[in-house]
Amino acid sequence: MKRFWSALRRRPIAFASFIVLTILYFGMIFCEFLAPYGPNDQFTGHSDQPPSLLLYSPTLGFRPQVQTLVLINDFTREYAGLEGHYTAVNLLAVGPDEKLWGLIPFRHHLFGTDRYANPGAGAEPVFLFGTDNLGRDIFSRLLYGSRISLTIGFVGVAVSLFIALLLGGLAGYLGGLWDWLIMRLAEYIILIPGLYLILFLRSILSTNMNSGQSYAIITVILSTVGWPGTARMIRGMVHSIKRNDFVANAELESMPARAILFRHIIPQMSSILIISVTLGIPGFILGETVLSYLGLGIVDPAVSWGSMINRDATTITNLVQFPWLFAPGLFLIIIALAFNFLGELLRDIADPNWRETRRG
Amino acid sequence: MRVESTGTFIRVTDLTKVYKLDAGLFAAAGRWVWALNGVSIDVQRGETYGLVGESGSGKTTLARALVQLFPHTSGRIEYFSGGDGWAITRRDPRSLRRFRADVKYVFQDPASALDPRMNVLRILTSGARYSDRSLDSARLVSRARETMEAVGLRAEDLGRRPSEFSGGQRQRISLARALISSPSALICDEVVSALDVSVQGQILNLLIELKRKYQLTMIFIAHDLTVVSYMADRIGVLYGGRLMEEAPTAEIVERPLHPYTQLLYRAMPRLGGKLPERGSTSGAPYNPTRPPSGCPFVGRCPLEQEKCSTVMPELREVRPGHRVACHFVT
Amino acid sequence: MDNVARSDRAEMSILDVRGLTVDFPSHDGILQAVRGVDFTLQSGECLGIVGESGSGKSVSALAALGLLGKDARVGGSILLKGAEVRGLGPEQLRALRGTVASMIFQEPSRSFDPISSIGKTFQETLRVKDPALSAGDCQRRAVRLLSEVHIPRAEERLRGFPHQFSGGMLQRIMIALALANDPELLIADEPTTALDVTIQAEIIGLLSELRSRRRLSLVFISHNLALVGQIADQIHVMYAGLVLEAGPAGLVLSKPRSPYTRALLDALPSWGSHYSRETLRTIAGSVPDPTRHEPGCPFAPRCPLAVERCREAVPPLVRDSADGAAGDAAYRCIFPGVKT
Repeated sequence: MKRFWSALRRRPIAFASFIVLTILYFGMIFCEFLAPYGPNDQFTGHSDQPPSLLLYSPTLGFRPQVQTLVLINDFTREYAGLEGHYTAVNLLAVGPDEKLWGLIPFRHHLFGTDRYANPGAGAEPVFLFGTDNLGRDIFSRLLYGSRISLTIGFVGVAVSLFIALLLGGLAGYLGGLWDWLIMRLAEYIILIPGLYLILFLRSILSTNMNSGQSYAIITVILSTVGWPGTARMIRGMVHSIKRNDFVANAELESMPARAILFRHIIPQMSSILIISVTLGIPGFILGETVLSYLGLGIVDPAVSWGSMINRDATTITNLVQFPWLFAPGLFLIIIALAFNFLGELLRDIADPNWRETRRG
Repeated sequence: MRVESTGTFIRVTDLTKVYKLDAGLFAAAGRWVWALNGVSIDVQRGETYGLVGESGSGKTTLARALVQLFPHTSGRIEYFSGGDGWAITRRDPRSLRRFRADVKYVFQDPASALDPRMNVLRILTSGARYSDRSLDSARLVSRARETMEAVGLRAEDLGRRPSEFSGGQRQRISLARALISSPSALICDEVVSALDVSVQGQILNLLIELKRKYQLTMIFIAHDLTVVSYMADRIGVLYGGRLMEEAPTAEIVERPLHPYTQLLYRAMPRLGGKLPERGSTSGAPYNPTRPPSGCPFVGRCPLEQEKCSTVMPELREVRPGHRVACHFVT
Repeated sequence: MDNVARSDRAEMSILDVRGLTVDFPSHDGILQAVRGVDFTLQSGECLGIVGESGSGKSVSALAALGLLGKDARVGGSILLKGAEVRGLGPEQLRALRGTVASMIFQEPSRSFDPISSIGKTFQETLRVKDPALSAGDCQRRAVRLLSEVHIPRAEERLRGFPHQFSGGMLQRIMIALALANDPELLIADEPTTALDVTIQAEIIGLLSELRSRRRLSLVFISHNLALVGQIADQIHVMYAGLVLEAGPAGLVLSKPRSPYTRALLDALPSWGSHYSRETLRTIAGSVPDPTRHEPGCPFAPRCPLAVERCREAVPPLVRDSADGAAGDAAYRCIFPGVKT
């Protein structure tokens, strides 16, 4: 643990990644509170609006605020600011009724305008990342969507890694027929192009499922496609680690095979496993994105970053016209990079031969 | 001060180990390798039995077959303790466990013999709970301390990891690990070969000290005849999976009878020694995939004649306690 | 007077190394592999360099042929047949290797291209010196070289691949390849360490024979003092990057001045000794960490004779021609020859 913190201090990029990930996961946990509006709250008359947070205006001075926007071109969906009309953005403003994690009811969100406290006073809503074509706040949708996108990575990797460790470990340690059978199975699955496998698996399942079922199905599909590669790697490593004298010695100490596997062999692979996990998470997140992008994953009303991209960011014209719709893509890039850098650091720490570099 | 031998401790009879080489999809028939070909030795309780041989001689195969790291192809291994005898095979796990708690194997390579991700305390104690002679954990920790000090290391080092130690120190840790269950015997497989010259002597001295202190029986394996003849009471010379000569150390040193032993003796670099004459050591090294009829030393032996290729010489006692496997030594 | 004699000898010598230092920058600080080493080799002589791990013996040899990587910082002077090796470009070094000086290494199986036949490897080597050599000529020369190293059925062997040969055979082939372009100097870095002792004896015998037949100069590097004693004319004993003793082989082995040489000689049992009668005289500790050189004699932490002065500064190298016989004798100790 100490090594973790001291290594973090020495590596600014990994440290920044750690901060970013902490913030994103924190946002995911408390999304009901942090998001000013619900993911499906539509604001009529505010569709396709650009991000609207301002920090200064002549009317209200230096404070977070929003200018009232008026549609000036229905065809190109262009908006212009209304002179003199500004709405203040407050902390802990009243917003739509929500229940934190479905349990704790509350009304005050982290920030917002007076719109809900004083309906009818003409307060504008605040859109940090603009809105989509139905007038829904992108920022709120990002936060709610992160619940699916960020967790599916962990769950997917956990399931996939468990299968890979079990099968790869058995194949490597037992050798012989088991090795042959398991490896042929893995290779068979690898042979099938991943995308088609995913499509096939998805297609044989009913299309009418609620989002909970979709989530589970996606996880299962991605894990099925993902375990063989890791299993092969684990099997190879187990084979070579097995040859070390300390494994023979453990056998001579009458240690049973499963104890040898879990206490001696698998720990040698910890750095590889950590890297596998931290690189696998963004892989799974992107996998869900692809599925949703193809319309086979999360569908409305559930929201995930992938489904947001599917809806809003599929054409260049859309992105050129409404560049803020790229926000989920941007966040995906950030997540993937953050996991990468952090993973490198974790792998180095786990390596018993690694010592921190000294200057000079 | 020699420990008195008091009877057979381990008896090996006609031990054979054959490997089949994988032929692969495109090769002709597979080939067989006779790593051990009918070796019989009797290790007496309390003695140090030295096994010497070069690569391919079968000495490591014999050592590993003894502790059944793999099953042997044919032959018998018997273990005697407290007046009883047991056959040692993988098919009898209970006797095997008892045997493995009593006869400990020490490996050659200090780099791979210790789990790099464990600290020394765990290395010493993690296997102990599965052994026949497990102690409760408090007793285990104090035993770990004792053995660390017995091998010349400090108890404070228990929290460190193998990468923090030198090669010689790691071999000491391996010895501590072997001693923790109070075994009667150690099998030392080339335990100093991977160490620096100036460190080898330390470990050899340590082994002798431990032998005296704990009354250990030892099987000491090395390729260097000088080191083996220093450490052992009796020596067995292996070549091509067969025992060529076996005698008390003094006899082997003064009067090696088998042509291969004599070759080993001539080939050893000695201070002040001259170079061996040309022709005295020439010939192809042993090819283990040859069928096992006849003497494996054919092709390199100065005494060889026709019958040596077809008839395997028996291991016969030509002097008291001195066995030789050669047609021409009587 | 001494200077004149030295430069005279430098003219006749095939290898003359002065003040060699080699440093490697590393994560843990500067690794001082060689800290000031001199040796001179006359034509036809055999120099034995003995040392344990970290002594710098292999690095010195690699430096002599410019074989160290780009990150090595080499100081001092290395004269190969009178020409300075340091500072030569890759083309010039390539011209030297194989034709003036050659090297063979410890693991013969790792020194061959596994997918080239032996004959092809010979062809490549021979054509370095003479690119116009025909395949037939290469074959003939290769056969001659193989019989020189006593490999029978040479034509057949040339068609074979490295994995089909034993370690001893490969080492002989390695020697033949090293001599293919008739170098005057052969550097052998632990050539027999990976081989059985009976094969080792053959290889040593072969090297000795080749030396006299071809008037070859030889540098033989090993950790085995007795082995080196069988073939070397002069021996240098290295420890932690420094030469602690040097001199004619017979002298160094019978009347060592440095306590380290003495310790190496005592380290392993002598033939005929037995634990029941004698105890081995060993020294405590192990070789020092090459990134952390304490001031003073590197052997001081382990030396039974060490006093405060030994730990303050590295003892100077004292030269004497003990017998007036071939080669300088030298030692680095303030208590030379004292029995421990």
